[in-house]
Amino acid sequence: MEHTVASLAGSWTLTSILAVLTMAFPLLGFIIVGLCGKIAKEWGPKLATVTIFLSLITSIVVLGLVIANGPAPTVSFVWLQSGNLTLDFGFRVDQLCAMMLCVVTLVSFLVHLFSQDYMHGDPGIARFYAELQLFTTAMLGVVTASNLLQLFAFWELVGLCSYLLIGFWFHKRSAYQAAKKAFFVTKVGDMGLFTGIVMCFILSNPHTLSLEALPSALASLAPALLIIIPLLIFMGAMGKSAQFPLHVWLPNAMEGPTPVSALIHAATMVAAGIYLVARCMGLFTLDPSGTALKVVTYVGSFTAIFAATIATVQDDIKKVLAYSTISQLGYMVMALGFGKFGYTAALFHLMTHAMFKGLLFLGSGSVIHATHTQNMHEMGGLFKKMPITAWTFILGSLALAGLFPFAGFWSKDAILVGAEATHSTIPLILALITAFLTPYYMTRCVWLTFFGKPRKENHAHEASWRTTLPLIILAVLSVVIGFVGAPFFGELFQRFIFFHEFESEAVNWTLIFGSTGLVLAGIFLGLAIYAWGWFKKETLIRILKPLYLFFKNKWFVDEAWTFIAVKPLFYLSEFCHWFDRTVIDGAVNGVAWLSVILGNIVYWFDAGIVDGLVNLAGYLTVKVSELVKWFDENVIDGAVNGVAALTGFIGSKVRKVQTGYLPNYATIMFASIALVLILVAWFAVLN
Amino acid sequence: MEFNGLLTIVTFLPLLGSLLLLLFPKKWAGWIKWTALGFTALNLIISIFIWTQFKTSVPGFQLIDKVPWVESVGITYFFGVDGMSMLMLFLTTLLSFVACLASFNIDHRNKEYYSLFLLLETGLIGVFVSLDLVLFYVFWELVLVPMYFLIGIWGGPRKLYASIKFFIYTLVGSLFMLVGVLAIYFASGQNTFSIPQLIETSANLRGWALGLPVFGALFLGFAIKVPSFPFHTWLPDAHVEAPAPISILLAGVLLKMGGYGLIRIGVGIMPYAATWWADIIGILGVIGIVYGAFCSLVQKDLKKLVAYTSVNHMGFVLLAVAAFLKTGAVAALQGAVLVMFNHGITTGLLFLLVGYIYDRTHTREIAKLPGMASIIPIISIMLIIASFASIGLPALAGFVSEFLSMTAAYQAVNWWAWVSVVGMIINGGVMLWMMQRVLFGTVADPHFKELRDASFREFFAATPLLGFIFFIGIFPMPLLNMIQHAITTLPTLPIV
Repeated sequence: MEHTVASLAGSWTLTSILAVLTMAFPLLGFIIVGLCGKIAKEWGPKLATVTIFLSLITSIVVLGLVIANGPAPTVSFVWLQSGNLTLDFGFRVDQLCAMMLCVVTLVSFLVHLFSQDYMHGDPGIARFYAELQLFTTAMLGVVTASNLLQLFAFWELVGLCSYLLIGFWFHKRSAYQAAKKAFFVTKVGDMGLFTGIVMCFILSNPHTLSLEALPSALASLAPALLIIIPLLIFMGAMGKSAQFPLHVWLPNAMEGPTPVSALIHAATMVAAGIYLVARCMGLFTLDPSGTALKVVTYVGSFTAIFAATIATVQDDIKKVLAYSTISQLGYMVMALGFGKFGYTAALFHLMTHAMFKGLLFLGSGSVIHATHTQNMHEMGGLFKKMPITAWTFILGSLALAGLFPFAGFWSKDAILVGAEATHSTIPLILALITAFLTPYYMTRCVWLTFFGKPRKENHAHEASWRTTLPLIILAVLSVVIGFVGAPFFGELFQRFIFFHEFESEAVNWTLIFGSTGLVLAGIFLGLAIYAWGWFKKETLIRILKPLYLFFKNKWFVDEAWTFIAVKPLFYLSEFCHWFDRTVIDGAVNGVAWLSVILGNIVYWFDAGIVDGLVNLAGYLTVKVSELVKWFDENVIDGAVNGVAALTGFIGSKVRKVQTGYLPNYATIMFASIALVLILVAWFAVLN
Repeated sequence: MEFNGLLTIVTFLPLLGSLLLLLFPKKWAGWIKWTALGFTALNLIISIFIWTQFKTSVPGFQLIDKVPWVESVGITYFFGVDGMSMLMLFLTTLLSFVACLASFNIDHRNKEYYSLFLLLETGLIGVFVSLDLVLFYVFWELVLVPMYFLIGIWGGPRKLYASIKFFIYTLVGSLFMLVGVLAIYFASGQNTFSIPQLIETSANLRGWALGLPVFGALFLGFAIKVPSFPFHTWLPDAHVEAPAPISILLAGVLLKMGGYGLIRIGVGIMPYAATWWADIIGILGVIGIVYGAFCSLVQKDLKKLVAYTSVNHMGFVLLAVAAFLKTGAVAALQGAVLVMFNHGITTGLLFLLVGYIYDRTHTREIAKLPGMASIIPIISIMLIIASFASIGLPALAGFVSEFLSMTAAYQAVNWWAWVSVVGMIINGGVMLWMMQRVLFGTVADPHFKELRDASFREFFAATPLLGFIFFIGIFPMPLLNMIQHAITTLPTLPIV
């Protein structure tokens, strides 16, 4: 038995070793906590938090090293070899990867910390932490992967963890249904990605899936294929990053524990789609017509405004945040569609969004934990009871709203600049409307949650430092992290992460003032309706009833899916099953049945004709035999018997001669001799 | 004459066990099952030893046992393995061991049960190691008899219908196969049934007139066993009625005879005819993938659901074989054989676990089962792993083989890949929905609250399969190297 000796390409550097360690810590944590199960109830969460803390440190060091030395050379092993096809397993640590490592480990660490209190007392806490650890490992695997198939492998693993964590409270019907929906909907996108990967592999020359080598290996393909392949890859991103119409799983995913929503369904996993498109940007730009990128932009900008409208009418605090996430992801996707003009902006927004959306979800978790409700209409007046949560939440909302000088402002501005630079008018308009809607619904959310009179009895109070510390850290970052990409501070982020070459755009004051005006207008409208009561909510709803219902029902996308895909799928399945049982198996049984009928016919033939003939033959034989018998008895036997009878007769007559009386014998003897003598004499005379 | 002996031992050791068990008095129930388990375990060890003796660097069949048998017509007693049959041999001994361990709670006529069980193992191994067509056919038919009784005596309520259907359906197939085998014998005109020799001279068997009907007859025999759409309907019935351990062997090993035969005899001896048939094989594979997935989606019986996923997975075997015929790519052959192996492991595990659940709840009706995850967590976790392996989640066994066969299919005829993707998505939905309905939610039947989780024996039976699911998913190369060896025993394909 031989194995191919794994050949190593590239050499290990400190950077790649540390990157692998970053992944190894949570993997170790997963194995230990996962295997110990219930035994790890007490120490498991602490151990898991420590491993992520170690990961955070190593990833910060990696970031520092990459800033100092540039990207580390890719390290790879041969994983699979078949004929002339070779697949590697390797690690690629460049600027993008280093940034993602930090974002993932930071949010993951804070969520681990936060969950100590949030999940305290849950019987499945060890399982929860084990799954979080596995998720973090998988997510780190996605960002370090050096080739598409490896990326896909971790991508799917991320999806699995999401499935397990959404369905964490699996006895709840809504939870397991949401889990299934999430996995299945993203699976639809993933199969597109999978097919795209297969096509890349087969069509590339030489055959490769290496992220670095692919663009040049595919460059000479037919234009149609250069549109199809990026779009298939984008399908994967649409599933994971919840782009219309594959977004339907994300709002339901809020059934998972809130820290999970923060980590997976706001900050990291949903950003994986953005990461994927950014990583494959080299493939998207191959298409000379730019069609693929256009599709990306339009899907993104539509998703952005579409989800924002829905967010304005949600009652569940987590649902508001969920739709807001979809909307912001739409922003990023739109930016990716601007190609090199939006590449950096999308990733910049990914990073800032991870901070403030993570913060908002954790903040909402803190509120939900204190009030035991998710309905904002049952909250209110929490500002005094939970000052830290409230303050941090407000800061996060302002960052999300994109108010100057919070983080969201800078990254949003970068995206708008990209739209301007590529002359994408429609996306720009959609983005600006979204920029107005976002502050509106966040103001509504903040006001309903923290201000006004408490609408329901609660004993809300701030939890321990393990809950508030993550909020504070994220709040600080939400305020300041935008400066790393601010045009007034040297655009450090843009100089670090860029596509092909770094280009500094001129500061566009119109956009800055215009968007700030829209943000202020949105906040003002929110306050006018909810805080100051200038417009009565009921009146507004009455006036805008059709629109309100349309938004409230989420544009009927779920219903459309049910009608277009799910129902037909089941009908088709029922049909196949029916077809299988009746037609195909019917044919099998029919053959059997026909065989029986044929058997009967043959049997009838056999019994009636073949056997009839036999019987006839037999009958005839018997008859002939009888005839023969008669002949035998009467003629042949008659003759025989006749002879016998004659002999008997003669005998009986002759018998009388034998009297036993000597003189009679003597007389006969003499008579006989005399007769013989006479006969002799007679013959003598004749001669 | 060559005689290595290892293959002869591994083939006939179970038969020896089967005969030995007949001598045991009935009341020694414990002794009977432990003896049977001992024989399967010993056989597993021997097959591992054979694996270590096998050299992937040496081309051609190895470990040969060859003794003239009926010299006048060219029948030899001829055993030997290449990479593909090595893998199938190992799969058979492994699953026999697992299935034997899973049989321990069968207490009705268990002497006959284990005796037939071991006889079945001999038949299955014989099919994979025979290198003489007559010998191959004898083992092929030998499998039917114990299987018929195992379903017919120890099966469920409709066992008679199922076992008779199974027997007659597959018998029809094998009779066609016999006709094909005899046609090959006469057409080759070499007075030999030796498979390697026929493969060597396979170029003689070209021409439509011979190829179409003869390959057709052979293919019918294999397609029924695979089972390929539309010859698959015996499978759900047989699976539903068969006792759980027998389902493991039925899905895990028996179906592989079809794929194995198709490659060894169909592709090996008649490559020209096979190439003409490639489109039909590929299309049947694609239909099986999509159709099997759709059918399994709406099943209400857990076992039937898993049975239909077999139709889906075995479709990938046909797909990859067809792609191999079109492109001659090693990856396609590796895909086909690895799908067979993985399906054996994964579906074997699924049937094992479904059996465990059935033993506890006495129902296979999905609607009655929800909430298992909170009652029997260990079994549930194993079921989750098996289901995700069946979906083809990366790092689990199914992913590698699906990737290989999809790449091969795309390379051969790209719309095959496009359509198959639909089947893969639906199959994902099937398993997810099944897990939701069986594992999650609140317990439907209050009696179920008292159920025991997996015993040590049950857990132990599942571990090798779980191990392989992870091992193949993460380190596929040892198996792929093994399969790659099989390319050395196949003729050069006439690629158009």
